[in-house]
Order: sequence, then structure tokens, then C-alpha cells
Amino acid sequence: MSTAVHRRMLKEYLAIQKNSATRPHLELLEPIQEDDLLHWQAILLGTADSGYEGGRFRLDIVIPTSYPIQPPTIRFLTTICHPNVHFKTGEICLDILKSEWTPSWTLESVCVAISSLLTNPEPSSPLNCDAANLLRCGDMAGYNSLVKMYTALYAMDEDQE
Amino acid sequence: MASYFDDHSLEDPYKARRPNNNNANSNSRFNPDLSHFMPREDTDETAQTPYQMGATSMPGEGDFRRLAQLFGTFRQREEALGDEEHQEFLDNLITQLMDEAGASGKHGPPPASKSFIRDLPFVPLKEVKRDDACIICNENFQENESKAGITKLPCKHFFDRDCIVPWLELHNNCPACRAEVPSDDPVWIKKKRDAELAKYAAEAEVDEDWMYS
Ligand SMILES: [Zn+2]
Ligand SMILES: [Zn+2]
Repeated sequence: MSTAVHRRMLKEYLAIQKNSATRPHLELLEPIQEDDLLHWQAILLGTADSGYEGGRFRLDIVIPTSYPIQPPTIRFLTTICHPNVHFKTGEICLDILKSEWTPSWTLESVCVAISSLLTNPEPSSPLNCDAANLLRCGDMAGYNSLVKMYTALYAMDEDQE
Repeated sequence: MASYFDDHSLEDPYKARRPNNNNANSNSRFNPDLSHFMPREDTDETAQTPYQMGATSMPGEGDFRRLAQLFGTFRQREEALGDEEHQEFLDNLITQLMDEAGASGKHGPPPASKSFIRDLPFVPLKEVKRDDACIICNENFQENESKAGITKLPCKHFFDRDCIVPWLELHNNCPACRAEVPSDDPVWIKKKRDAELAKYAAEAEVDEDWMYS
């Protein structure tokens, strides 16, 4: 069944393999099984200048059959403390995954955008109010130590399966 | 140096990190994390496959409505006790929940108008450049002649008709540059008209200033 979504995902897959050297904060972006291009996983690396440093954050990516007319569904599998990520479900509040989606985005550019969201949180549309409130009060020390604590607690295991 | 995103005339994700701003313009003092106490339509987690989990983790319109009604009941009880500050808190909460109920059913811009889709131009293959690709399917136009043909939007971006029509049936903008095209959606039409009136009024004011200065 060579439908439009499979042809496009195959193209993205080949491009991702070719560009792998150009993504410092994306350790991995690949289909979970070679023969199913509609279910992917990714691992984001916490950047050195943030409370996420040293953390590895696993994402679950589901491609709808209507992709790229509809966006992929992406959530964190690794527990993460971030104002725009739901602490329990891993749901991500990012406009390009919802109302601002357009087919010009790719899995790769979306993962880069999520990685960028980690260091540039948006406390005005929170899914995690505790983290957002610290930011809104300007309590950067409190915010960073909370982020660091959860990163050490959940994102630094050798084996996260 | 031009980035990957420039080369493909795509939006650079490094510059586009705006989280979803559904409630950004509701200036309420209270912004509760609803998800912790959100009643779920489906609580049987064992029955969920990984494919469904993403979809069901989003609170739906009904969830917000039910929660708003619940707080409405609380509010009536508070009224009897005369605690004004608490009442105001509940009022804000209820308003916000109803806003969410309205917003959660909408995903992005409204559909393009039927007549716009019907009248999309047919573009001859010789009009597109040799290595131009349709950004929806990522396929080169020249190598992909079997389809229903090529079309272009008023912003001059080219697409396969088969690719752009399903998008326009959902959203009235260009996938490449977000330039708007007409919509039949009454809310969109009203917003457009209001914006034009506001612009007209602003221009009239400038004229007046000039006349009396
Ligand atoms: Zn196409
Ligand atoms: Zn365009």
C-alpha cells in the first residue's frame, strides 16, 4: 500500500538519515520498526546551558494517515518538568503541533522546534502550573533547581525503556 | 549561509517557538492546571493502545463544559454565604472553562471558500522550475505528471492539485507562506470586515488630523 503518507515518510526518512550530523540536540529520530513509517521515536538531549543538561528525553511520535495535512501526535515518554509539557501525560503545548501546523513542517523540523521549546518556555500557556508560576514570578533559581531535580530523577537513567 | 529551512523555503523552527496561545488573551488572574482534576471520558487505561493514547490525553469540549457546570454549582452555594472574593474566583474560572470549550473544537484557520477551490487555476508544467517540488508530498513536479495537474495560489506558490485541495478544504492559507485565501466561514468574514472598518476609521482620522492642523 504505497499511499501518499508512506511516500512522504519514506522521503523524510531518507533526508533524516542524510542530515544526521547536523542536529546536535537530537540523538535519535527513527521509526520504531523499519516496516512501520507511521510510528517513530526520538531522543532529545538537554542543552548544556539549561537545567536539562545531561538529560535524555524520549519522544513518542504517531503519524496520522492524513499526514501532512494533519500534524503528527507527539508526546514526551520521559517525565520532564517544563511549563508547556504535561507532567503526567507528556502532552506538549506547542502551536505548530496544533492550530499553526502546516504541511511545510517535517518530523525533523518539528523535533528541532520541541528541542528549542525546552530552553525557551512560554509560561503564559502552561500545562505545568508549578513550573510556569516560578517563571512568571521571575524565580529563576527555583525554576532551574526544580528542572534539574526532575532531570536527574527521570532523564539520566542509563536504560530508560 | 542559507539554512536548510531557507533552501526549502520553510519556516525555521528555531524562530517559530510559539506555544499554543489559546488562552493568551484571557487576562484572568487565575490560570489553573485543569488537567490534574479533569474528568475523563475514557478512564479504562488498560484498553488503550499507544496509538490512541495521544488522542485521548487531550481534554475535549465536553470535559470543559462539565467542569464549568460543576463550578457553577459551587458558585451558587458560595453566593448564599456572601464570600465575594471567592465568587469572583469562581466566575473567572467558569469563564475560562467555557472559553476552552469553544476553542478546543477549533484547529487553525477555517476552510477556504468553495468557489476559491473550484476556481483554482490549471498551471502548465512548463511554468514551474525544473527542480521545484510540491512541499506537501515532497515530489518533484516534473517527475510526477500522472496527477490531476499543478495549480498555484495567489501568493505564487505551486502545488499538486491533489495535494493542496485537501488542505484548503480544512484551512484557508498557503502551507508555504501562510498567505490567506478567501473563506466562507462567517466568523472569518466578520473578522475580515471588522479589520477593514478599523483600517478605514484609522485612515479617516489621519485625514481629519491633516485637515485641522
Ligand atoms: Zn504534491
Ligand atoms: Zn504561499
